[in-house]
Amino acid sequence: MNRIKSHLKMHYLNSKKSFVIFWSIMFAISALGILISIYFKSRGYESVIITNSIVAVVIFGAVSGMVCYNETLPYMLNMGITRKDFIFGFAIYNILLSLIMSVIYTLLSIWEWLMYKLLGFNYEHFGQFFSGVKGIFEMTWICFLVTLCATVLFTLIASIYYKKGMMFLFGIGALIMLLMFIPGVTQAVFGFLESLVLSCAGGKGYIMMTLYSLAFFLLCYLIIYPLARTSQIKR
Amino acid sequence: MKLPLDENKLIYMQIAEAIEDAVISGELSEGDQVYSTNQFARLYGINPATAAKGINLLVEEGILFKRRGIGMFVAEGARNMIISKRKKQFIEDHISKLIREAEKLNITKEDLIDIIRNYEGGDK
Amino acid sequence: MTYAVECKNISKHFGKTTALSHINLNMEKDKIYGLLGRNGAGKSTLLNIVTAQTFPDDGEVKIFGESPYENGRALRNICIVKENGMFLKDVSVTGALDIASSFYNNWDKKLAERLLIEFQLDKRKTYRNLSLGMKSQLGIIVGLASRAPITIFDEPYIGLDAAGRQLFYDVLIEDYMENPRTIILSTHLIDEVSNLLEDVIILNKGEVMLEGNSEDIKNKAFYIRGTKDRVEKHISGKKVLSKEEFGNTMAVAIFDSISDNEIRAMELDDLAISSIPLQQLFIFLTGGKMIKRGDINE
Repeated sequence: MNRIKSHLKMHYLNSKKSFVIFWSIMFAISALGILISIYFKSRGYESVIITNSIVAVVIFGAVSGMVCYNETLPYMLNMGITRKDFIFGFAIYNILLSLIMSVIYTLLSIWEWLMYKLLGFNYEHFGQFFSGVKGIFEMTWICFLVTLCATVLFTLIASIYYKKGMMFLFGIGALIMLLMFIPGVTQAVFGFLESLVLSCAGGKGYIMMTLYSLAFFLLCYLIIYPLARTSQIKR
Repeated sequence: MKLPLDENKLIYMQIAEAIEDAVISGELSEGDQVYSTNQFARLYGINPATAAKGINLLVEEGILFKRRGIGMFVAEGARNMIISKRKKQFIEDHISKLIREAEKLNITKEDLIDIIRNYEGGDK
Repeated sequence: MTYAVECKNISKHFGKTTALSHINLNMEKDKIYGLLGRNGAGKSTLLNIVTAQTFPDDGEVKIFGESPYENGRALRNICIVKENGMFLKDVSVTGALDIASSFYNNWDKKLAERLLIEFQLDKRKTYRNLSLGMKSQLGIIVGLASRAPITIFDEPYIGLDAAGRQLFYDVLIEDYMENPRTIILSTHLIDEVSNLLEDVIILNKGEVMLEGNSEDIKNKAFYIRGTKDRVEKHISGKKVLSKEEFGNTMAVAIFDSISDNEIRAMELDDLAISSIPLQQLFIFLTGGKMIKRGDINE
């Protein structure tokens, strides 16, 4: 347990700066948006205001998964940490980061909702895209799941990149593109994704989403684990 | 501060010689405690094992002796031992060289003795 | 006897180039080792294998009798500090020390703080904003304060001036005496560290060229200078590293043991004998340059 705490402290210190910068920008953009809205309202423009920062949050999660893996794996190997411990620590970091990101995302959403409502705007939050998901907790949870999936996917990409190099990654990309040219494959993939999305709709949709996300998380780590276990430091 | 060492000589020999010099000059009297390995290591900036090697060389020769748990001490009769050793060395190293060099320059042994006798500046 | 570090028949290739070939080494507990070699000799590769950061193609490593690969217990004995600095770029000096303190079991907080003051390192700066010399200082602080039973410094002084390096050597020997541990100094600044080393390992082109007690090695390396025929008479049968003639005078560097009687005989023949400093011996052995006249002291 103590070891895990050390891992998390390391990730915290490593990510702190980019994290603070990211949210500073997000809140600054939000504040700017409000100011612009007030300006336009004073000029007599009136329309529905839609905001949502989930895309930025997900992108941050993805980039952070990718960058942190490549930076901290060699650092930890140099510190005499086993690859196994590193992976375990990184998985927990993925989860915690996604969780914290989604909580702040929710806080930002609440703040925007409050501000626009107080200023008397006709405001809509993009989070209501998921039908049936209207509460604050559901919103946070879904943001968490989506961010987690993005983070873990990019951790997987990072682990392939670290072990096999950029060319291998391009190779996989090219292979996927080729597969898409095979008749029926594209349709099958999109059909599968569609059924996934559809099964997430409805009142209890987020339970299905939780299951899918966790399955995806585990699947990714099933691939990451053997890759990391055989990764070496680069010269 | 670090005392300088001659890099063309073995370090442990230089440590041993430094202790011998201190005994001859009277800086260290018989029965006195000698610097510890670590103190030598610190003084010269050397590996303590190397300093120990120099000290052990003198222990083997009976110039130093060890008191368990306390340290190294100058043995009884150490000064005489060192002096006779140095004398032997002096004769082997310097006198033989001196005579050979003198022979090359056609200086007879008698002349050499005269030169030494009349030489000024060598005394303290 | 359990060695601190044991390398058995280690080989490593990068593509077609052989980085290490059949390395066999035993390093004892609580000794200071000098791992010497020219650039590309394989020092860093060997150290990466010893610390399980890279895998050997062949052979095995033991740390206090255990394989270090994915073995936390064995790895916890080691701290390695590298030339290119293995630190997180956005973490401050304080942060880096904080992380190190939570991963190294024997971490000496007081020593780390003392060294911060001695090096006058700004704690708040992030690694990215440190100068080369400051980066090296941070590495040195981590290496010394880790108090790891096996502490490895792989060329840790890039950007450090002579005074900074001297401070490192002083603190190293000081702390080593209080807390003996196995220290491996990988370096090419041999003249600066040669007095600190108990044992020396010379790597050349991926092979162990020479290993042993540094004083014993020095006791086998001599410059001999005198008239040509006399020098030749005395060095017959000895291993000659380098030979140079100027007129009737000959200067040779030999790597062989010489008995007291032989020295006496040489002196009778007016030959000048002196030890070869480790740095110069290293240059001879690893095929650097030819002997220079100025290298021979009368």
